Parts: sequence; C-alpha cells; structure tokens
Amino acid sequence: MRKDYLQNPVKHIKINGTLTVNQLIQQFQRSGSFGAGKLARACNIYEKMLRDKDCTVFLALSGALVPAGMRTLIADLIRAKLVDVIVTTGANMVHDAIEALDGHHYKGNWIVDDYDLYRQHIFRIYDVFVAEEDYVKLDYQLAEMYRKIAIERKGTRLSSNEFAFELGKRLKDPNSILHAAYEEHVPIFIPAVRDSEFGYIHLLHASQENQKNILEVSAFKETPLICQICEKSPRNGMIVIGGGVPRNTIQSAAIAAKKGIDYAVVITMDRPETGGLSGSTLRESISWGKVKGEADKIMVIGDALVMFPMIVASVIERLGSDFTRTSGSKRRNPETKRKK
Amino acid sequence: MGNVKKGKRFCGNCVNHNPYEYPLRIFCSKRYSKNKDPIVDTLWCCGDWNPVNQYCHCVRDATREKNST
Repeated sequence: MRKDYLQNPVKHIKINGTLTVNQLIQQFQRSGSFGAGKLARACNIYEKMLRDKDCTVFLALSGALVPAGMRTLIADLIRAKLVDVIVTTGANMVHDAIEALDGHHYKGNWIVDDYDLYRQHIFRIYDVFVAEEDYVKLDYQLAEMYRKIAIERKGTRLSSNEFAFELGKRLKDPNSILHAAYEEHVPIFIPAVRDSEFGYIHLLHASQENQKNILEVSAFKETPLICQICEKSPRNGMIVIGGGVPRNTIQSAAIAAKKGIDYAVVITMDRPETGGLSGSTLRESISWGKVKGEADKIMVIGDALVMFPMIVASVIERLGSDFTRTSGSKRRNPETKRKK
Repeated sequence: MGNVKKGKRFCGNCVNHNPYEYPLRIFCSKRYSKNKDPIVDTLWCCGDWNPVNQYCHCVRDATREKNST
C-alpha cells in the first residue's frame, strides 16, 4: 500500500549546548537518514548484544586503530566486560606493545616528504608518525620475550591466542589491550600473526646463533577453540571494524560451529565491488550462512575512528552505571581461575 | 655504494643498522644474531660492514650531534 511507505516522517535534528552523545544518536535515529540512521541502528544492535545474556560479543579489529588512538578505548571495553573475544590483525597488537614499552605514536601530516621521513627513520601511517627506534626497541625486547616464552613452554607450539596471552602477561601497562585481555581472560586471536612485526621479530629471535629455544606459533591450533566458543554460545554477535582476516575468522568460526552470526555491526569504508571481505555486504555473508538470514545487522559506512567511539559512548550511556555483565570466559568456564 | 672508502664506513651507513637512540646509537641485527651486544655507536664500524641500499641521515646527524657537544 502506498501509505505504508509514508509512515515515519523525518524528525529534524536539534542541537543544544548540553546534548550528550546518546541524545545525539537518538536524534539520528528519529531523523533516520543515511549514515546517521545507520549509526543509530548500530548502537541499538550493540546494546541488544550486551543485554542478551546468552550472546558472546566478538570484536574484529583491522586497520590502524591503535596508532590512531583507539587503544585505551578497546582496553576499557575489555575491562568493562563489554567484549568477550577479540580477533585482530597482528599490527594492532604490535602497536599496542610499542606503547606498552614506552613508545609513542605522533600526530603528523599526510602532506609530507616521505623520502625525508625515510632518511630520518620515521614511518608514516596516513597522518600518524612512528619513530623507527620505537619499533627497534620493541623488536629487541620482544625477541628476548620470545626466547623466555619458548623456554617456559618447553618447545610446545602455541596458538595465536596463547601467544597473545603470554605477551599480555609480560606487558605490565594497564592501558595495554594485550595486558587487559590477559587480566580479564579475554582471548585475543591473531590469525595472520606472521603478517606483522611479530613475524619479523621471530626472524630476529630465530637468527641468534646457538638458539636452542625457538618459539613456535601454529596457525591451525586455535581453529577448534574459536569454533568451540561459537558453538557453546547460544547466540553470537560481532562488531567489525574494517574487515579482512579478522572479520572472516569470526564468520567462518560461526558457520563451522553450525551456528551463524545473530547480531552484526560492520564499520567500513570499503566497497563490495572488488569481492574483498572488508567491503562485502552482510547480505553477501548471509548467502554463505555465516550471518543468519534473520540476524539483526547493519553496515555503517564511515571512518571507524569517528563511528566506533560514538557507538561505545552512546551504548555505555544507555546501559547506565549499574549495568553488569558476566564475561564470556566466565560463562564458558564458570569454575576456571587463571594463575597469574 | 660498495666503493665507500674505509674512513666513510660507519655502522650508521651499514645495511644492518637500525636506529636505537637516534642519531647516536644503533641496533645491529648482525651482532644480535651473533650473540654480541647489538647496541653500538652510529659512528663506529666493524669488519662485517656492508653498504645500505638507501642512504639515511644517521651518519650526518650523528656527526653533527657529536661535533656540537
């Protein structure tokens, strides 16, 4: 019927001086238009995931989120039990470790002489700069950590989440994602761990003459574990920043567990036409069975550095200070206590 | 660059150098692999020297800083 199309008039946004983030998002919801409407819907879905006591919340991280300032936000989400499992690129955890070892990321500029930066040993990530010596100090210290982990683990192969756990145990910075995840028993899966500085630190570690204790990380060891998490959880939700390997790791685990994703929020600026996963629509994921046909889902097209903090701020405001949530690890293993 | 004269050969223009405390100290991956102390002066040089494939400012800036102190 024609009138069915014309049910909800757009309510115009009104800004006043005391507007909170969630109040603004609520206005986005009432205006309902374009990116603003999608952002409001993303907040609703994340809120639903958190209020659903049977939902495990997966967070997929790709893109240079930590260099751009999202480190503390993610560590805080872990500590507030607003995320249960993290799947990430190696690079984001490398940058987390750089800061945990007193390195820094600097506000820079994208209009700059890159060859001059090269000659001064400064790396550029769009408009963020990193001094190469912060990487080198990381390489040196982590190569030593790798050796100690290999000795402690007595030659057994680690999965990427065990590797992240070992790093988190040794990095003492409370703002570190790796350290927060270690303390809060949140598994961090790094499926493409070799494709980051972690891989090249391994090269350095293994290059030492007479090195008898070489750390081994197996790419396949974690597959049953992440599938088991999906399988045991009555419902699974994912928040994806970017996409790529981390997004597919979660989706593939969900289908391997014969479950499918129940709630999905994807924040990306990629396009679907290339067939690459970062731009693929959630409807496309439905065709594979990775995301359920009836899933509550939204794809937000925008800069995650703007979108994600707004989603988190809005949802935390909605939940209120009395809201508590049992962590995913506690729901999975209520009796388990980790030795520290 | 393979023809760099001996007096112009420094850790800071060797292929194994990585900045450690820019510009005066470098981390040498070659020494690390040989279980030797990998942190050495940018303006030092050893017998394993090999030229960098792209010049950087390490030697220039280390020389300036050394001369200014």
